[in-house]
Amino acid sequence: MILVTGSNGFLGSAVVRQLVDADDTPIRCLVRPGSSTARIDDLIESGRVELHRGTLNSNFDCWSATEGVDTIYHLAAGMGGGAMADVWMTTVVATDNLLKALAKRKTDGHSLGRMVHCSSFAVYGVAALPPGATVDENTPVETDRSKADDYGHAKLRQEELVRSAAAEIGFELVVVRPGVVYGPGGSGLSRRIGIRQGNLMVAMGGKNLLPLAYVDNCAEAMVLLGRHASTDGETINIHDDELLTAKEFLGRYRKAAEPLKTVSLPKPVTKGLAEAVEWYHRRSKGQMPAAISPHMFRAVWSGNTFDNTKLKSFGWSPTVSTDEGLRRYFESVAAQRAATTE
Amino acid sequence: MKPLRIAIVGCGKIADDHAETLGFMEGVEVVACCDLTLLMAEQLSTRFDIDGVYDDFALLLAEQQPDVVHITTPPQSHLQLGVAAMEAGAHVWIEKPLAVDAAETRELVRVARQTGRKLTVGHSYWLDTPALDLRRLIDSGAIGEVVHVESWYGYDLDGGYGKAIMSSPDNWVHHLPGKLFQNNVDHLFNKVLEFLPSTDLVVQATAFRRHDRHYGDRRDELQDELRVYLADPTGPTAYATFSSSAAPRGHWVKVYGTKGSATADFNLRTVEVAAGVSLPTNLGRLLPSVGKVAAAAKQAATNAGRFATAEFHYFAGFRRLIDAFYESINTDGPEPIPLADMERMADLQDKIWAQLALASPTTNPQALPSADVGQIGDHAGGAR
Repeated sequence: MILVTGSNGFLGSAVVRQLVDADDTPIRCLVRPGSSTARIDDLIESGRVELHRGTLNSNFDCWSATEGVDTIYHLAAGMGGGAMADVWMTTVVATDNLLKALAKRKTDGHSLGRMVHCSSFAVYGVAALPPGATVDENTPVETDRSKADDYGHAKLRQEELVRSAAAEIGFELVVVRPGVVYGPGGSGLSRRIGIRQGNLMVAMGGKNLLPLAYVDNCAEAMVLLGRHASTDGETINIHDDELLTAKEFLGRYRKAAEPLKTVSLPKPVTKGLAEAVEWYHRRSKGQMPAAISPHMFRAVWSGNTFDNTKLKSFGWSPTVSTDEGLRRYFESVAAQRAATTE
Repeated sequence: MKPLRIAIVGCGKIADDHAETLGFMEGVEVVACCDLTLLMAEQLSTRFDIDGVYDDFALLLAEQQPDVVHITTPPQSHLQLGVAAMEAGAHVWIEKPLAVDAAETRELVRVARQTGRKLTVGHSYWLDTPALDLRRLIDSGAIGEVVHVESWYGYDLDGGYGKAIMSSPDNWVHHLPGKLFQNNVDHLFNKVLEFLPSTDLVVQATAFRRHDRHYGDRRDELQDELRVYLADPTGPTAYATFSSSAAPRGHWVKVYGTKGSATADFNLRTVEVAAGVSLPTNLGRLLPSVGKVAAAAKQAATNAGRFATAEFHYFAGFRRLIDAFYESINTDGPEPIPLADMERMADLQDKIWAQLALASPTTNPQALPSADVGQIGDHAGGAR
């Protein structure tokens, strides 16, 4: 039995579909009470997957969800945007509860075989790298957590808990770190491109590369790595081969998906703005939030390059080209906008 | 002078506001934080550079001996934690609602008096800028004697706090006597009670459900609309409205006086005096709108000035209340919110919850409430 947490999410639902296509192993989809199952309704109705209503914030639900489970694809996480307490609760505390259930199952005689843990590029300590450095699996993780953004901070702690539990409980662990996952049904534009306010995009990404991962390519990679015999203990970044700059991505997005008004900031201006915003936050004793900071500038907009050699060494190559992925994504955004304005 | 040693117990969303505000203050140091889930305390500690991390409050009190404890846990734990903190010698700030009911509130007040510790509750809007401006206006005599007060508090079930409540049938809010209302209506009533000084208010309450969400559990029945009529036998009357449906999500109080009326809007950060017709003919109807434009321009300029001088914080009232509370500690002066007012607030809410619980469900929320009996209704699906 395979358990997928976050199975109704954007990436989680794509992973479920890849698992369904891979073989006949039973799949249990954990979905919070009240959350929509629209993305996997067809699979539930056909009986191909088992819907298990529950939340990782409940010890009882963690226990019931892990019954008879050999493999877990762990994608549940707070995606940021809200209060840190919520992000932490749904990412770190939830994972801790899941791991405690696995430890108890071990003492009861049933061991988990393998976990594929979905981490993130956000855990890397990119701010400490020289501008333009290549980010790969050897890049150190963030060390100054007080400056990390909420999502990165939570994902880092979550990853630590999972690694520690894998060693203590004794299950195989594959940690994957996807880049910017995009595709139909995905969330808004990455902050690597800029900061959006309504219909205005303040573009800060410029010529920086985006570590794009089309959602189905990413899911395919996760399942490939999850089923691969020699990935135990490995940490693997996931992004596609053909990467665009933030400027190229935004230009194509505006043309094909949504005609956003855009103000493009040159890199020195972005850097100066980040310093000014943080200074004003301190000076005014928090009258405005420190929405951007010099640390964020170095972590997100300092012109890094990316390398997916390790992922490809396990036999992965993207099924959907970047051009095709973008076409599908932009088409879905345009269709959604048309439906909203009707 | 050595800085005051502060502990925060309860490391959820609201704890962030406490930690950040205290971090900007002189003469204080947050030395420890505590949560039943140690990982939650860990995140607050990391982000706000707090050394002490606990999941055992008794141990925190024993080891850290804080001068002040900020309690930001669910209300069901306020009495136990508040009493423990005060008996350990700490002054206590408790987030609203102060306690689950009037009996618990009285016990907290009794212990505060007995131990000589300061106690306050997070009625932040009481010292918010529009409230202060409105109070100044009333004190100037501009609107005369207060006749009636209307208080409105809009709530977004899809907002940050609303989502947390609606995401789980086990959320602590569902276990309060006044449920969703009780977690919010301190902000509705504390703008009213200062104008209705009686301890024996006439109360008529009605509540109903307007949302049409279906979860298959107790959330389906959660009431999200509350109307309360209050009357001081010797003074003004008041209406108080809590609404999760009306847009925009207003947050204002309007005071009607014998000479005029004024509205303090806590979202828009304005105080507006209602303009009357003072000249005959249609000219009398033309001029007031010009006056309103001028008043709005003056308010905008005032707000811009406050922003420029960094006096326009989102939680300005919260900061003032914290300042006033610490002032009362440092000078051994009176608490910013009188203890008797906390008891009145709890008595009023007990009365309301009792009325709502006594009534039988009805499908007709538009029926007028009788003098002593509130109503519970089912009003889903936008029937109104």
